[in-house]
Amino acid sequence: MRNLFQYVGLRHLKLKPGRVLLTTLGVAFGIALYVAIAIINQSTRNSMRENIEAISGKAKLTVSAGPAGFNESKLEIVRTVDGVKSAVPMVEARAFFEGATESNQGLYVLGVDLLQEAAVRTYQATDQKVIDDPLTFLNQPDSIVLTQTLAKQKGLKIDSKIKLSTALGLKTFTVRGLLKPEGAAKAYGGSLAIMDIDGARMMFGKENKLDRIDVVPRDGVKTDELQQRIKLALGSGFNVESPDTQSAQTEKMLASYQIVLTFFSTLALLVGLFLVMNSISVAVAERKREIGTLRALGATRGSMVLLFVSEIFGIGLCGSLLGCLLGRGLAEKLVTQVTTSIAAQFQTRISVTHLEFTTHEIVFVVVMGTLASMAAALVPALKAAKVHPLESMKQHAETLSKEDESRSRTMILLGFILLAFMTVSLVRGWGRLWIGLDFVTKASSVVGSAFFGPFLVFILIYACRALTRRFREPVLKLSQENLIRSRKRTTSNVMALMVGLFLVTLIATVRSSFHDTLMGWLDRVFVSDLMVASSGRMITADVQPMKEELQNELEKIPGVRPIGPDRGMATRVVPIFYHGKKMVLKAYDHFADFYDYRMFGVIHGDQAETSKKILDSLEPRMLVTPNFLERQHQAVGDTVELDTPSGQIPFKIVGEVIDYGSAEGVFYLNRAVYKKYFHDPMVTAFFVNKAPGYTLEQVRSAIDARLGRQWNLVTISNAEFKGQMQQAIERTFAYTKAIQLIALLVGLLGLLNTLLISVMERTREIGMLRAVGTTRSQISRMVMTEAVLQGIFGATVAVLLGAYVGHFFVLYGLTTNLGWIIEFHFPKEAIFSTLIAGVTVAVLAGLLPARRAANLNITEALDYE
Amino acid sequence: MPSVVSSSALLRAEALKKSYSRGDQTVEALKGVDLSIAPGQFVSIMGPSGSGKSTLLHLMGGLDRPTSGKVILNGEAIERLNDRELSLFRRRKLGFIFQFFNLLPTLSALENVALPLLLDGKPMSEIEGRAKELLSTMGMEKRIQHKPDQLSGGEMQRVAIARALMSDPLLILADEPTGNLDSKTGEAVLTLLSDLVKKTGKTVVMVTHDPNAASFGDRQIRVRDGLIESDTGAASHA
Repeated sequence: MRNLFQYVGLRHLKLKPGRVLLTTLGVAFGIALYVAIAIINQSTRNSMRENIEAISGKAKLTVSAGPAGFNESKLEIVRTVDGVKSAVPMVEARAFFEGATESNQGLYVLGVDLLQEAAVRTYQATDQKVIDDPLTFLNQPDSIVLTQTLAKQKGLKIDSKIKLSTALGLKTFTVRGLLKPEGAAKAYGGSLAIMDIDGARMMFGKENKLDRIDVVPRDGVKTDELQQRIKLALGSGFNVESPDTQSAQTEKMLASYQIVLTFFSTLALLVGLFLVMNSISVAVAERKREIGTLRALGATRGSMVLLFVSEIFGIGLCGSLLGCLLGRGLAEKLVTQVTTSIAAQFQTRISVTHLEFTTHEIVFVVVMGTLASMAAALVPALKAAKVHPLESMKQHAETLSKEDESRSRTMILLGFILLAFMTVSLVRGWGRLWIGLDFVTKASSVVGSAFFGPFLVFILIYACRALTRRFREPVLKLSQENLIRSRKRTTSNVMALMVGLFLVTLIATVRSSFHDTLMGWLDRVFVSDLMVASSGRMITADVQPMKEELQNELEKIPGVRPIGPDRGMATRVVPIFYHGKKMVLKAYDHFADFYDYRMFGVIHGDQAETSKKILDSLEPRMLVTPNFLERQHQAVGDTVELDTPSGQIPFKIVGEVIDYGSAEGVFYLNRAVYKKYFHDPMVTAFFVNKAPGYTLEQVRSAIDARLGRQWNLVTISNAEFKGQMQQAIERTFAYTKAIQLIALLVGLLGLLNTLLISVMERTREIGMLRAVGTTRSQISRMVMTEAVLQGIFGATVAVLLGAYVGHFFVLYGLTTNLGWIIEFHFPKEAIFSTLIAGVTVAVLAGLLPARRAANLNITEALDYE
Repeated sequence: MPSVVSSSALLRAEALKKSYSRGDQTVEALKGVDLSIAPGQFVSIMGPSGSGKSTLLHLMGGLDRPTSGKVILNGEAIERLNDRELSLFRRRKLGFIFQFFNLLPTLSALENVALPLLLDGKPMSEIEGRAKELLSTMGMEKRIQHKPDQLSGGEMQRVAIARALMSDPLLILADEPTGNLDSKTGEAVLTLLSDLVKKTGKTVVMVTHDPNAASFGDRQIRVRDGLIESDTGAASHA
């Protein structure tokens, strides 16, 4: 076997450096994207776990109770529970630097009890002590300690003054200490600050409140038993969780999003491996005579398989290594986009400070990539093993043998079955039963399309031949006949191009469906002229909460349309946990009449009547999203118990509403009801309309002038908000453009490979054509026409299949993974560009083979064996 | 006309039949051939196109399997061997010479000659001496590093003959060895084969449609319509 590889396999690899390079790049691109997404996913999970662990410190349990916090009297209750060694209080607040419009311009402020903090968390100062003058620190409520990282970013040092927006407006703080990025100071990428708990309460309007209590159990006490005792002591409305549970919840929350990312990157990998299979198939076809000779001389079938698989070993190894390198670089480029979109979807801050790709993981990827490449080569290698020794006697093997015909029919049938399986599996939701089945369903879409697609292409070729029968152009006729006659070759060519374009179309379909659905929903429900919030990222509601009394100030501003008595402008958006899953709660004021109850995307019922059920009532009622109903096995009319600071309160589900705020579920409540049970009067945003006779700019300027500076307000118009949302959606899918480009490149490489072989296999035929008088130009045009026809028809079928698969994936697959209802929107513009791309790829791939064909020497070609 | 089958033959074919499917039809390439070949013979098998001569050669060389009948080579019924055993048998006991030379284009003349033993896993250092010697016998000592595309047709066929001898085979099978050569070169190759048989006692079975080429054999078997029509020559019976 070694001899066979050394004297035959290696020689062929050295003979075709171009093809080796193309195939290696195909593997590398597929691996690169897979690695990049895997790195980002893993690093995101680790980052979030590190955040939790950094903040939790030595605590084994954490007590919390929703965004409004809870009364400080609960601290004593927890301290008296048997088994508690330390119970350390904390208030948490989100603050933004003056003028901030993005999440990364904010920081987390932890208000801690300096005397007890060491029981749970430790901090390392840049100088000798964290706080040089504890007395001043405690006496001055504006005292703040920043991390070294943050201070460096903002050019701050000890005694620097900084302005931060808080719930009470813009406040000035004094830096009195700097922390090394260790322990708790590592959390949130260093965007963290420490204050004395009383100072934090005062500056952030959290008097008598706590946001969490970190619990350290006594030695020998079982955590889960202590957890139960604390829950019992506190009663309903409180979460008591370990850091592990929090991490697990966070990972679950990320899992559904990351599955979608991994799906796309896996598809790219499959396309890269398809190129390997295609490349070896071409090599087997090219070397059939040689294989026959080797078999005649005594090479066994097994050695033929090993020969071709071993030829791919080096390519797979180099491709995987290169892919790891490229993937690491790609991860750097994509991480911000991906984590921003995750953060947007899950209303959470994610800061990946370092991308982790260990040596162990690199080795794993290289080994698996090499093995996968060798596995991809196995199918054509097995074909090589079946080459009969008598092939050595044949000169040409262009016509389809009976065996080839039956194999071709089997492939078409298999392709059809796989597509049918994919359809049924998505509609029935089989992917939810087991993640492996989910993967198989998705792989079936690619393989099924690759096998069934060529059949559709031949239908188009036959149709084209029938339609152009009256044309006199000989090159066109010859090209069509060549494509039909050499079915195997045409199938190989078309498959190579189709797989790449299929993926391009599938991604375009998913992207446009997402975009159009989200923007359509936004158009429907965001009906106010302006939105007013404090600093932060408005489209994700990651903003500084405001006091509700600001509404009174807003109403006084000239140009602000009056809303009428007992009406409100405010909304409160907060995360809420239900049965361990993180959801989103949106509480709305009873808005002015001129909104006509259009603020909610109600489904299955009258818009106004359903909205009134919560807005016109002070009963505990809510509207929920369909994903909540499905995942929690609930229905409209059911009652669910929510944990609130007032205890467990039964809320009746009175209707369904579309909202894309959470993959687990979104609740819509009347804000008055929310305030009553959740004790949270703060506001996330105000919806403002301009009065007749005023322009938007006038109203915006007036708001800025009167309130903007003091409260660090941001006023955004309807169009601007939608524009920001549009940009956010585009950023979410920006990484898919990298996948599309890779898929196109792989399609190009695959088609170039197979077209070159086509010309080589037809050398004698081309020689004959030249001998009877066909010009070089006609030969060149013939090869180009074949390439273009395959490009047009291959692209058309790829678009059709991509749209078909995309349709089912959008309507059913995304519901499984993301819990959202996304409407299918056919991406008309993208389809057109995909068709153009397909033809362009075919033309580019056809240039070199056409030139080679035209330049063949007649006598040499006729002599060719 | 059936040929007499002798039990001391190197090769025996008994009631050999071979059928193929061509579309809806079944073609009987061989309809029951009995044949024996003694060691040291140079046998020419002649016949028009479609007579079954090549099919007979393929079956004798284990390149194809008979529909029925037996092929016994050196006492071994090769039709009973599985694919792997047959491959090893071809590698170690037989030598092949093809009409189109079938040299591997990526190997030099020396490496092409060494190929059968390279397939057996022998290191080049161990076998290159023999390969060089065989090439020298063929008058190719100055061309050992040349690739096939640097050799003429006659030179390529000499390399192919050397390759066929590399594993010291029991039997050499030649399928139209001069079919792709001019008459002068073809004669030179046939003379080589004839000398090989006389000097080394090797057994050669050659298929040809050329009566002149067939006359180099000391036994001529004529095949027509899947059956042996005549079997003449100095040692027609083993």
